[in-house]
Amino acid sequence: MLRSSTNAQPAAAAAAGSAVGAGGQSKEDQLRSRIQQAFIESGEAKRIEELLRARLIDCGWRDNVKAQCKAWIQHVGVEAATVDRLVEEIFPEARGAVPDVIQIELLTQIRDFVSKNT
Amino acid sequence: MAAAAGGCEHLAVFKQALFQPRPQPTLRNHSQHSQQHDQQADGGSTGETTGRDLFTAMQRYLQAWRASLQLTSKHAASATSSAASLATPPVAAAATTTSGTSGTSGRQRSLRSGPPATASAASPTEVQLSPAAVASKIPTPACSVCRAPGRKLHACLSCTFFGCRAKLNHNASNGTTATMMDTSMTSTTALPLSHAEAHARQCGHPLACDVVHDQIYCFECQDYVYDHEMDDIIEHQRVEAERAAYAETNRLPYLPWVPKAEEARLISAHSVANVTDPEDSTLGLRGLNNLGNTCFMNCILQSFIHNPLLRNYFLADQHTEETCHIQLGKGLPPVDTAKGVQPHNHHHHHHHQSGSDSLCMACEMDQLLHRFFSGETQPHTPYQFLHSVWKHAKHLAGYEQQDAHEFFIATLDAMHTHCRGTLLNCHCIIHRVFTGALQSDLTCLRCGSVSSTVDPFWDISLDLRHHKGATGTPEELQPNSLEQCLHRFIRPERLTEQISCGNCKTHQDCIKQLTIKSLPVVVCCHLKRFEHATRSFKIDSYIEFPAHLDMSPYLSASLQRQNGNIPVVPPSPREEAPILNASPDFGGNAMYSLFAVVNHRGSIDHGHYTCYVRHNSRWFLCDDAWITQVDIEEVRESQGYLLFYIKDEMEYSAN
Repeated sequence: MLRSSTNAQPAAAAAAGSAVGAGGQSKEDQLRSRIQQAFIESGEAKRIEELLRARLIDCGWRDNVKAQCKAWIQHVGVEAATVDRLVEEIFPEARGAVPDVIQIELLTQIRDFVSKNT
Repeated sequence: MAAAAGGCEHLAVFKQALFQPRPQPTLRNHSQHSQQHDQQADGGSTGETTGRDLFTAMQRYLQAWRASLQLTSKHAASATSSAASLATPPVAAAATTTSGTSGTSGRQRSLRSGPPATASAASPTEVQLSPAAVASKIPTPACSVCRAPGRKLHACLSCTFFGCRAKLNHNASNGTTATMMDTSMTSTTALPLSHAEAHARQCGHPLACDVVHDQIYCFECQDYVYDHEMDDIIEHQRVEAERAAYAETNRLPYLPWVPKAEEARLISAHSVANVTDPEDSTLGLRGLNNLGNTCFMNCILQSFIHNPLLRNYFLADQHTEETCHIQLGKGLPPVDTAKGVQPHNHHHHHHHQSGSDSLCMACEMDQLLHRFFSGETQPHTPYQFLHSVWKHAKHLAGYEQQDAHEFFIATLDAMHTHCRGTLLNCHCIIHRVFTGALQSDLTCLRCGSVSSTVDPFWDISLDLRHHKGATGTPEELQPNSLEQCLHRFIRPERLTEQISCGNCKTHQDCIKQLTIKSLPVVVCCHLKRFEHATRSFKIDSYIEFPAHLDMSPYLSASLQRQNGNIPVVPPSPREEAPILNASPDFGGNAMYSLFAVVNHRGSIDHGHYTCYVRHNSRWFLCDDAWITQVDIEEVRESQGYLLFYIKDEMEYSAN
């Protein structure tokens, strides 16, 4: 559930049909995609993902969200349910229900990684 | 969900192309060499790109990339390139056959910089690939439009396009309200399409595969579609990629276990339906015959066998004679030097003479545990273990009475050494289970400067008597519970001798304080009942100990936080840094549960050791060959010599 805000920015350029080359990006974007790449390729992204998964299972978050998903699917009917609609419905509340301690822990670790890699 | 298996017509069409009869079924080949060969032959002879080629190629690439991410060690370099070469040829063959240009711009570039959306839309084969460029390193897949390697990245199943399916935030922020049904219906027209969906519509490529989860998304159905046969292909590629990637490392490859004919026969011949409730099971409980004053060994062995971590480690065959480096190197010169480990020559030298005996204490422990869990109920005679102990700890040899604590430490030391242990950063099972860190702070009474040292420990030895000149409350002088002992253990103590202060440059009066910097998973509390002063004697005083112990009050971090009279002066900013760094480690639960108690009965010269162990949720008294069930109350009323506690909540390790 790590939200990647990077997907948003270059969309305007793409929508306008222009090619997005290396020169078309601002310094900030270049830095961002470079860090993002390092984040994935160093295995740190995977490690943090595993950590998040473990923490969410540990605190009961996953079981709660799973129960909510089940209830919603039963509510709208299996035929009408799609993954996208499910995510749209459950995401805001589930995102808010992630305990602060876990958010802080992960944020600290991600921040550490970023500061080490810039 | 909406479209279950067979519900999506696009997937059906795609599968039809996928499973077209071909001259050589490449999917079933196992060796990397023949796979390459077949792929090249396919690409060369037919000269056209089929859905199957692209799909398997894409899967190979993704799986190889994922496997390569997990390899960070030095071994990774060679394994990665082999994984890359596995992944490369089909992609290259598929995409370059109709492309006229030479492979100067690699897949690496095409993925990183991404071809312009328009060019990619015109023809999927305009993406150029160079096997050499890919083989050098498996690039991270990224969106061909925005180049973000972020979430929801999907790979097109009809061409080499990668696109993110993430919502475009700046316009979609008003779409997450209650009118969810409407937005999902109108999103196709009102909101800008995601990069993946834009591509799907422009090129008429309805299917894409999620890069992270290997799920196939259909843009017509607006949902993920599910199919067993596709799952099988994906699974097969995953196994292949892992096999290639881990060929160079020590890690065992992922393989489904299928019993061989002989194994299947043995299983069906010897399987008994397990009808006993695990809570009532006595499997793992077995007496140990006394071999002549060896009760000191028996009780420690019982505490090891009922230590859940050691038990699981050895029963899971994490250390076996077949894989043990000492057993493998039998008769050969020490091979440890390459790893930077000091070879223990005296061991090797000694074993040359002793022939068939086990050279390794961990192997002995492994065999002992397997004997205990064999289902046999007669007492076991650990003569072999005893013999090994005599060889590895000379001071314990002979039929004399020995101290159980001394034996405990000697056995841990021998097992650690035999598990390729090094002094620093050892990851052997013994260290992972028993090692904690003790912080010792020396505070100068003149200038208030603090010097700290951190040392590893395997057990906490607790004084039961006060020393000359000590002051404090009656509890501190004569503790009568484990908690009081531990509080006394961490109490600041004024040293009788003057210590050289690094700040004052002179000898000064100092205060010393011990605290626990990091907790082991298993805490062994050693009550010092045997005093060896001018006259040796045993302290028989009763020390109360709890079934559940909270260790958090004795941690360095929690003491610093209390900010009471300890430390005497507030730490300087320089000292504060490690404390701040350390505090997250102690955020977890520090609750421990008792699982074994070793008792000594008798005087200092002669006596008898017994052991209480927790087996599932019941308690048993192990008195050499005799095992009797007891109440926890009886355990807690016993005197206690060594108390073993295990952590209630283990922390997850992401690695």
